[in-house]
Amino acid sequence: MGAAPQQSPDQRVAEFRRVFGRAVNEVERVIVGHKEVVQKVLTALFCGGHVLIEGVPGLGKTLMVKTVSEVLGLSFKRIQFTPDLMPADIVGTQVLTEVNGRREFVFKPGPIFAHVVLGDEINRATPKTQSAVLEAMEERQVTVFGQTYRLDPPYIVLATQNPIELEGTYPLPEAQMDRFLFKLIMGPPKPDELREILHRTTGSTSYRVQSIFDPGSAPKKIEELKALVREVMVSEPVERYIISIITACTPNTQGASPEISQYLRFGPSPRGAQALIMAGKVNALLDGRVSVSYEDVDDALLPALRHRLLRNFQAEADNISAENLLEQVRKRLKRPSA
Amino acid sequence: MPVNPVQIISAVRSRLARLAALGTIVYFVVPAATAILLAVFLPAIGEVSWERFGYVLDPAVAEATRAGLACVGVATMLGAAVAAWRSYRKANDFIAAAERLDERLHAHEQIVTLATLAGPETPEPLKEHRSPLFPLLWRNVMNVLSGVNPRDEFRLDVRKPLKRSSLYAAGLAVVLGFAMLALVEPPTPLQKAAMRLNQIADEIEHNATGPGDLALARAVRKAAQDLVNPNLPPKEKLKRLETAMREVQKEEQQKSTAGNSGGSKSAGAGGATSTNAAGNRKGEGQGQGPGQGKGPGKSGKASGNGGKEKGGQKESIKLQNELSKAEALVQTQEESQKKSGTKPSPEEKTGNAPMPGNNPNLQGGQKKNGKGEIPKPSEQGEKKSPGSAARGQSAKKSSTSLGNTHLGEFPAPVRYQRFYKPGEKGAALDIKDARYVTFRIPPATPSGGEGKTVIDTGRPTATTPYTNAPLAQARENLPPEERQLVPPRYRDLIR
Repeated sequence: MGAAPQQSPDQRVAEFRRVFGRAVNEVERVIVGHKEVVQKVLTALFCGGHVLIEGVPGLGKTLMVKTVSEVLGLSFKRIQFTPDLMPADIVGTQVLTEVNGRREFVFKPGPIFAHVVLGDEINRATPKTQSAVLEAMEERQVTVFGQTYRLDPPYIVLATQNPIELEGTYPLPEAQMDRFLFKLIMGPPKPDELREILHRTTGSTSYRVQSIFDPGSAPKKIEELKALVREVMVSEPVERYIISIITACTPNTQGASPEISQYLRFGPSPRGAQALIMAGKVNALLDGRVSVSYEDVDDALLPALRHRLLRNFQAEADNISAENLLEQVRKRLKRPSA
Repeated sequence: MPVNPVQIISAVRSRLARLAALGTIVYFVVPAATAILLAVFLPAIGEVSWERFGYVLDPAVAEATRAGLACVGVATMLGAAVAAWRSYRKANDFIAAAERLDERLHAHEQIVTLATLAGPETPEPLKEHRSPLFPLLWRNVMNVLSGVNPRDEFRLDVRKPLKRSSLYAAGLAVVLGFAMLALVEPPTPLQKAAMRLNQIADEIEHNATGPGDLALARAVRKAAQDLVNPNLPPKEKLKRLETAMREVQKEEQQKSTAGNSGGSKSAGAGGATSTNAAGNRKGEGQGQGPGQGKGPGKSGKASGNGGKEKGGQKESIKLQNELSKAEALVQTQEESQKKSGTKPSPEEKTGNAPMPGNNPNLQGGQKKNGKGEIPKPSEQGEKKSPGSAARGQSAKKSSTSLGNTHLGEFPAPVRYQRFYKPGEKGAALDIKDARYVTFRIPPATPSGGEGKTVIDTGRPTATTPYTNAPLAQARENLPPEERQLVPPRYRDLIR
């Protein structure tokens, strides 16, 4: 059940809501709009997952991630993925160093050793380099020259991806896509949001954010809150509902609709169901509850599953997106109580 | 007083199970009641519907229909009981009840989560390893469930099941209506007589002045019932009719005795003499005539009695007539049965319709299997026929067959052939007045070489029956293309 709680359940839930709310508010001081994206990034952090953010350049993806790490008081590293980036550039390497008159190899950690890692334009790196991040994302450890190094919790990888300029890029393989808890889409700002962005970025006033935790205590606090998330309860009917969603999204199964079988090659893995439950738990806590509801699951459906549906050629030819299919599934599925 | 969520959910479970069972019963009750009511009131329905239009339902069919409807009703009720039990079992679910409650109170699945973790069927290990947040869930659910009364929250809604079951009941009634349309038939003479007797019985009952009239009406009804009873032989029917006739005569006698005494009283008052016969048949005249002079009050009473008596007499005469007619009908039926011997009566309708012959080449009177015999005159006929004596003598004289002279021989059967007429077998190919016919140019006949004949098996052959009816003459005013009987698509080729 995680760390022994000092506070009562009420206080712990209230603390979670306070931290979450404050973090969102602080990020909003720098980032205009995209509140849902900010919330989902924080949700992924408290779930212990990673996020893939997709959007055209200039929307503030990098700034948002940096701001989130500042607000939470976590260490932040940025990796700009390029075609010539090598795995050693990410995970680190052994460097021959003279220590006390003796020469020996000392491990020099790469930029992946941070609490918040931003992989900018991750689809520009070669698959070999991309896969170097896999172990770090899933196992929270890296192995260099046979030596395993653990990554300090909390650990979150926020990768960005540019949907245009696909020339010379390497789309992420399905195995790596599946490791992201959420895939978030950043759209263009609305006119009033754009006006606010112009005011903030072209004036003389600079906006700074404050860390919501005391220096050095952030990782521990965040780990406690993550433990609280895992304590949230899920009823059997809600579990059945999540399973029915996953089954309905898997082509050529009993629960799959004809559209799913027609347009999908593969459906979500069990990680998709885990993502739905974890995100549902965070949503329940934000609503002041300690049990997951159907609405909590529905809220996480698109970000948690859109990148796990592998469309076939016909879906692309017919311009059927994963979001379309998920909406169909949501409409078609009846909740157990209905 | 703190609320125990588990107790409330249990109460809701019981309530929902009972409601489910009741709803199922309601769903079945309308069709069942309809079937039983139709079975009970089928005669009354017949009176106001088909009997008004002069049709009757065979009593045996009517009884079978009523029995069938009653069986449907009872079976539906039994089915309702079984379905209700199954609904009760299905709805008696703790988690499902929590879900219903959750949905009703918009509790965001908190109640169902609690039911999952703290229900009576939850395994103990799961109860022991509950989340540390469980007390908070319990408190939240307590707040939600405070003031909840299962009886108020869940009520029996009979509208939906009644609406749907009414459709089924209506369907049943419609089916029965169509079945009756098919089953009713015009009455036979006996049935007509029975109907008339029943009508008279109704009239007697309606104008009854004492228990004797009611008994007479019952007797007449019984006679009418016996008249159409197919299980009774005609002799028995006649006996019953005679019994009814005797009843009528007895009743008439009693009435006449009563009329005589009344008539003599009024006659006494009037000072006139009257006979028994007059009292019997002409009570009205007696009461009015002599009574007017000396006793007007009594004469009025006598006149009233006489009116009723006259009506009763009319009914009695009518009844006796009808009974006599019925007797005549039964006798006619009996005689016709005797005449026909083993032949079934026309009412039984058991004869087979004549079947069309399949092979026109078979000889007359010959059976399909060819073992039939040519019909020969009977022995009596043969004896009576001219020359039969001579034939007999000659037969006695010589031991040869009857074919020694031409006179004694019957014509031998000759096999003949007959072709089907157009339309006798299948639709006729009507090509009268045809302006052209379509034909297919056959492919080149394969050559056998050296003058050898080769049978062309692939040539087109007619597959439909045809007649050699002449084609219509080409009209002279048509253009040459039209006059020439060539399909239009070949005209260019020919030209």
